[in-house]
Amino acid sequence: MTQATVLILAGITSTVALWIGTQGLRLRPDDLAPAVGKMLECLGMMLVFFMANAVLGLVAIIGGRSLTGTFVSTYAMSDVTLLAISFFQGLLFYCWREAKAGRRNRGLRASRSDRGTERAVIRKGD
Amino acid sequence: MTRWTRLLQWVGLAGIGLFLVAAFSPLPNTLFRWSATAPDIQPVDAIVVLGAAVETDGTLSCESLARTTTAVALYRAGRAPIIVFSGTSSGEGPSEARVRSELAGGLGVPPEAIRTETSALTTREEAARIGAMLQAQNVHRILLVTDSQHMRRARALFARDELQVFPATADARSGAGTSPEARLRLLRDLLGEWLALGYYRVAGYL
Repeated sequence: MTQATVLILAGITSTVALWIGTQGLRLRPDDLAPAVGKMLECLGMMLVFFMANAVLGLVAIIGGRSLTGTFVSTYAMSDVTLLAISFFQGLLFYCWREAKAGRRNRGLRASRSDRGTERAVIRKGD
Repeated sequence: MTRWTRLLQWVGLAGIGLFLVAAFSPLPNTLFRWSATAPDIQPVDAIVVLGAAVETDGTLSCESLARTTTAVALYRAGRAPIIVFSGTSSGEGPSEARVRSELAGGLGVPPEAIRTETSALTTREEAARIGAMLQAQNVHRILLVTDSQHMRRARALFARDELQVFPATADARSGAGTSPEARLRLLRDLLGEWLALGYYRVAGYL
């Protein structure tokens, strides 16, 4: 029952979001596929951070036990907060990369626009 | 699209796929049943209850409570004359073994039937210390109380000390849970135990 409730809720909110996107915000359905690609990329980044945190944590805990004798339970690695923090890290890193890409794109547009202005000036001078 | 971007997308897709299968299919329940150890309750010399967790205010975790009450029920059914409670403290509070022995006392187990082990931090240490304690008391057959996933690793460790070990499983989590969250928890616990089992084998503890 819980399973069906969760799936029905997700279905309803996704349909509403699709309607708001296409009707209210005038988003193009064609852009949905690239958006899915970006979402997968962002999620992949989050999971890479999670795997890195988990592996590093296990190595540190087991290494710490044998080298220093300090005991930390490996069950700390199954804490759900590790997953949440990894997701924040992954999201931030993804947004950082996107900000760089956005700046590069803005720079390209600006330089194209400058070149266009220069050509217009040269033509006028002719 | 760079190779790195494509790799990230595949990782993301695998993550979504794993999440959907784990949360919305009976795979975790099937794996739980497949890797669980079945109980084999026999008359023995001692009941050994492995540690789980206790809070600093003395509140036992669900796993600890399930194991303790199972052990008390076995004692009251006349399966063994003594119970050994294991469990350290988490920080400043009382040890898990002490809290459990007080609970067992309240449930009718006499103090002379209770032993405690409060220093072992891992399953391996529990097996070594409790095994030595039991050998000194001429105990050869035990009922081992822990959860059905942890039992395989724990039983193998105790059996190394020439004890005859019978599993008495006590699960705080049902393998029949059908909510997405219950299934995700089952899978998390299973993966954790499989990792621990793999580590114990690689390290030569088993």
